[in-house]
Amino acid sequence: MDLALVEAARSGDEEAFASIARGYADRLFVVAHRILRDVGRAEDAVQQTLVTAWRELPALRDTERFEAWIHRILVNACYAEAKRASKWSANVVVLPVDGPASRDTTQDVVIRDALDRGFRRLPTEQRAAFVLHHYLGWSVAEIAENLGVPAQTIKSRIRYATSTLRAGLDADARTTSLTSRERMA
Amino acid sequence: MNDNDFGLAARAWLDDGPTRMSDRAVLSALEQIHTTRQRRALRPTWRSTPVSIFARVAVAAVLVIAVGLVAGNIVRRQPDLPSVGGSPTPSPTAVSTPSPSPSASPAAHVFPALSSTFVSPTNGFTFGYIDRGGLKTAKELWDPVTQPRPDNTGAHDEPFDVVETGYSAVFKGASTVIPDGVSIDAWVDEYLWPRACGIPRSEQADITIDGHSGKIVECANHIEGTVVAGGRLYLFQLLHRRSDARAFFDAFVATIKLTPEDAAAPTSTPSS
Repeated sequence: MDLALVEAARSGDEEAFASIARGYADRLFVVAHRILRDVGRAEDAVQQTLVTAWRELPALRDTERFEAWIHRILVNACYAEAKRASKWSANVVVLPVDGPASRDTTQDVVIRDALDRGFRRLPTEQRAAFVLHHYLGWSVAEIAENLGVPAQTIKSRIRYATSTLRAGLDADARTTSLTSRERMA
Repeated sequence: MNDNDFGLAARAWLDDGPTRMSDRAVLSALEQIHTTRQRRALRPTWRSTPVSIFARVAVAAVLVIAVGLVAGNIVRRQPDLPSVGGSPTPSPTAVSTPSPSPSASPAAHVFPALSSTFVSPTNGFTFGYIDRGGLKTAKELWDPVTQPRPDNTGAHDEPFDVVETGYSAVFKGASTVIPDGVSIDAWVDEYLWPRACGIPRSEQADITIDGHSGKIVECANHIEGTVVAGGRLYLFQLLHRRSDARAFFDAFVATIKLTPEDAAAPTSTPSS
């Protein structure tokens, strides 16, 4: 991260902020998409994040904390976006339609589908903690500090998310196993 | 599935998905930023040295004097204001001018090769493009007389062939039959602008596209070029947040071939 750019943007330099935004947009988008599981909503969340970051940047005390700060704004934007979306969308899950596949590929698809279905059932706060931990590789302490949430809360969110996803995977595995045995019989 | 397997499966699942935000979405955010004022901190967020009482009093005194001077100046200027009517006299210099992109150093002009060639199925042109951010072909013929004007948000883009370059710029083009007997400049001014920063076409800079003389205007976040060939008006735009946007636009223009004979025929000629 170019601290000089952040400093310039903080002083009102729009071009400097545009450079930062261009550099960060994709990174923020990937995180938002993993949390929201929807391209349009992820883009909306990132747009809101960039606008908020620009507006509030003069209040950022420590420019070295910019990355953590903008991710915090992003996560809050994802919460807002998910809340907005839940008012309008029906809970429809589109299952992937795949052609013939090898056994391993089929297994992968089954696992990913189970994870996807389980993840969509999670509250957004648990999704965010799970993504920050498993995708960005942040520790519980880092997530807690960056989001301004107690570490114990983050730990619980990750634990609940993990157990929900694992339960979904286990249920799918049992169903698959049962179906295979019925076919064999 | 043990913890390790679960971690690997979760990571693989999270890795799977789009990794790039569309240029249009980024540009839209930057457009919003352009019209958003920063919230200034009411007091400094940090202060390296304590400020003495004397310094505070001195600053306050300077502020009081400054305010007094400004107020006195306003009072002295009162007689110059119009005495009748409420509307201020328009300034004769209040002509809007384009704000061209700041010129960048040549070193900034690092573009990828426009190695793919796009052949428009409807608009009668070809151009080179970067197969990186996505390409959308026109969904309908362009009729500037009856259709809404395109804007930077991507609304009303149906008649345009649009390239999301992946380099903070969107290049798009369209063409339309020019009605018989119209003045090109007047027709363009009437139906395409005032998007071009309010600059009439006759006052825009010259540009040559595929050997045809045209006009170009550089605004804050977009560049627009128009050219006439084979009885058609061609419009090419670059929506951008690049300091070297003109060079980027010129790189595209250098690859354009105008083929009006290949343009899709309209079902009816646009009314003039």
